[in-house]
Amino acid sequence: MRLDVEQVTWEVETKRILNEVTLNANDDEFVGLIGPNGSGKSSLLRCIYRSLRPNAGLISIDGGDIAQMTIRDSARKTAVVLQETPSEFDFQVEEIVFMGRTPHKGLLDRETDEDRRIVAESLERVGMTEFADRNFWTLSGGEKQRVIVARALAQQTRFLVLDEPTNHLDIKFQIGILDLVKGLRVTTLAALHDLNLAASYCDRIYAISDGEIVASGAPEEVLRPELIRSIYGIGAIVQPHPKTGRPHLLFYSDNGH
Amino acid sequence: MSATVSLLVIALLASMTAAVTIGPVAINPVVVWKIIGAHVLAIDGGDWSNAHDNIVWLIRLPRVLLAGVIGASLSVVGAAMQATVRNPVADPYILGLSSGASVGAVLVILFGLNVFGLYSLSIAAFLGALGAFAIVFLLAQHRGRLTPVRLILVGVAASYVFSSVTSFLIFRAQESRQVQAVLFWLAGSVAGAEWGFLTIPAAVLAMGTGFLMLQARAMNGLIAGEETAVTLGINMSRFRKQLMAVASLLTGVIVAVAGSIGFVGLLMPHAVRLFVGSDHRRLLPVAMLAGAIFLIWVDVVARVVVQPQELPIGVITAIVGGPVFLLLMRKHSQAFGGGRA
Repeated sequence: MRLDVEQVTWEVETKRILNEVTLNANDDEFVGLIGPNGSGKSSLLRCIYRSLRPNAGLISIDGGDIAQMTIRDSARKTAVVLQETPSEFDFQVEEIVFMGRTPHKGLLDRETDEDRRIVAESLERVGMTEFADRNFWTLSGGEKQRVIVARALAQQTRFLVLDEPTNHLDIKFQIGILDLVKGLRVTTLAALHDLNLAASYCDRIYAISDGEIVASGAPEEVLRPELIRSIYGIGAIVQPHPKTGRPHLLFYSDNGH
Repeated sequence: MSATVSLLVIALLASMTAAVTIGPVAINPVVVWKIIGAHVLAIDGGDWSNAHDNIVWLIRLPRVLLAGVIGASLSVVGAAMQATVRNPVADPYILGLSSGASVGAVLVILFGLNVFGLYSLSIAAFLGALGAFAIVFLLAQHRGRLTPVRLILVGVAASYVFSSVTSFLIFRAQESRQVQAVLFWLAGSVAGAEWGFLTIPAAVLAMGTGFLMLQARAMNGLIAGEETAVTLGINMSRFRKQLMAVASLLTGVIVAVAGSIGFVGLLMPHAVRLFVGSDHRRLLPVAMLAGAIFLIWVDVVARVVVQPQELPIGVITAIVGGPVFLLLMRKHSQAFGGGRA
């Protein structure tokens, strides 16, 4: 599955949140999106998963313009893991994962054995099989996030969008979730706050600032001290990670901390 | 799961039978079914008196059926409204429909605008509800989209305006008898039910519930999250409008026929969720049956407690239902945010 975003612009009132953003993700590529708070990361992802409609530009999946597709068709191509979605209504873990089958079911369709197999398999892949009957509310943050990933897996798409998937998770689950996604071998676009995680997992990274792409390329090309300084306003030392050889960033404040 | 539904269907039939037997004149349940059978199969006469025949067929059965239909509708539409605005404190009246209906009904009662004869009150109430729906629907939209917060705020604001108009009209009323009639209507009642009042509510209940059942998966997605719903392939802007229209139609008909009966639509869906969870494919049928049973019994209480007078049904729903619900909630302590946060 291939994603192409061409010159996408999105405005609220007169403020331009995204300014002619162009990016792409190739088949099975893990692409990261980094940038400070308010830079437009989430807005760009929203345009891609159709929660927002861009004012201009083209977004296509495997060459097909998503604006021409029904929402349902898009949902069969793109699964999304958002930050934990709060709900006032409690569901069982299994029911949440079954929701991933929604875009594949017609109004009169019932759950088939195939659906049940897919749901069971999705739960197993995130290690939540024993939690199937639990109420979502009773889970910890990390468990909840894994259930949401399982729902995305049950959607069985070849393209996955992740918006800060590791927020609020301890380091074990951060790495667990990203290992899991990386192992799926599907095209992935992930907005990541943690630059070291981005460096470790992304094949390519786009840096976005004030609604514009300011750098793109392999992690070692993008994650340079000058860029970190220009978009985050802080100092950074970049070293190769002694174990993985990937870039590793050490941050410092100009006040000597 | 279908076991729960079957059990509830049996409970519903038993409740209906029992409710028909209860009253100033006690009637044997077997006789009740004989009379119903005779009418349905169009057989003349039998070993029961004409008086019993009239009590069962003309007075009690339509009333019990209406109570059932209204209870079922309130319960289903409550669940639908809670999904529409993604808020557990929503009830069928949250969009101001009952307040709008009140204005229509009160106008008829106070000024005797009997343009439509016997059905004037119902038609005026329905038109009032429709007017409220139109206002809320138009004002709550922002760039063609309805958001839950706007819906609730506009609905509540509209409610207050309509309630003020109603209060003003009551305040200006000349006769205390009229005021009594208005207050009785406002509290809700299924008294005076006739076969003629049953067809439309029953048909609307069937169609509305049918639509909601077909959309049960989408409703699940919706209450899981606004953005989540989109990522699951649900066209939110269209779906919410459909939901609101269907819920409003059901509410309008309920209010037109039975006034605004509180509590059932708010808490019956929650009570049912305690047992079957939030999945609408189970929630809707169970809520429908449970709502019917609940209101049938409440109506029995309404006509029996202070005989020969009658209490408005809406007065009793909360008095009976509130404590029961609170007990249920305590027993299922994990629900409603009691889990590990």
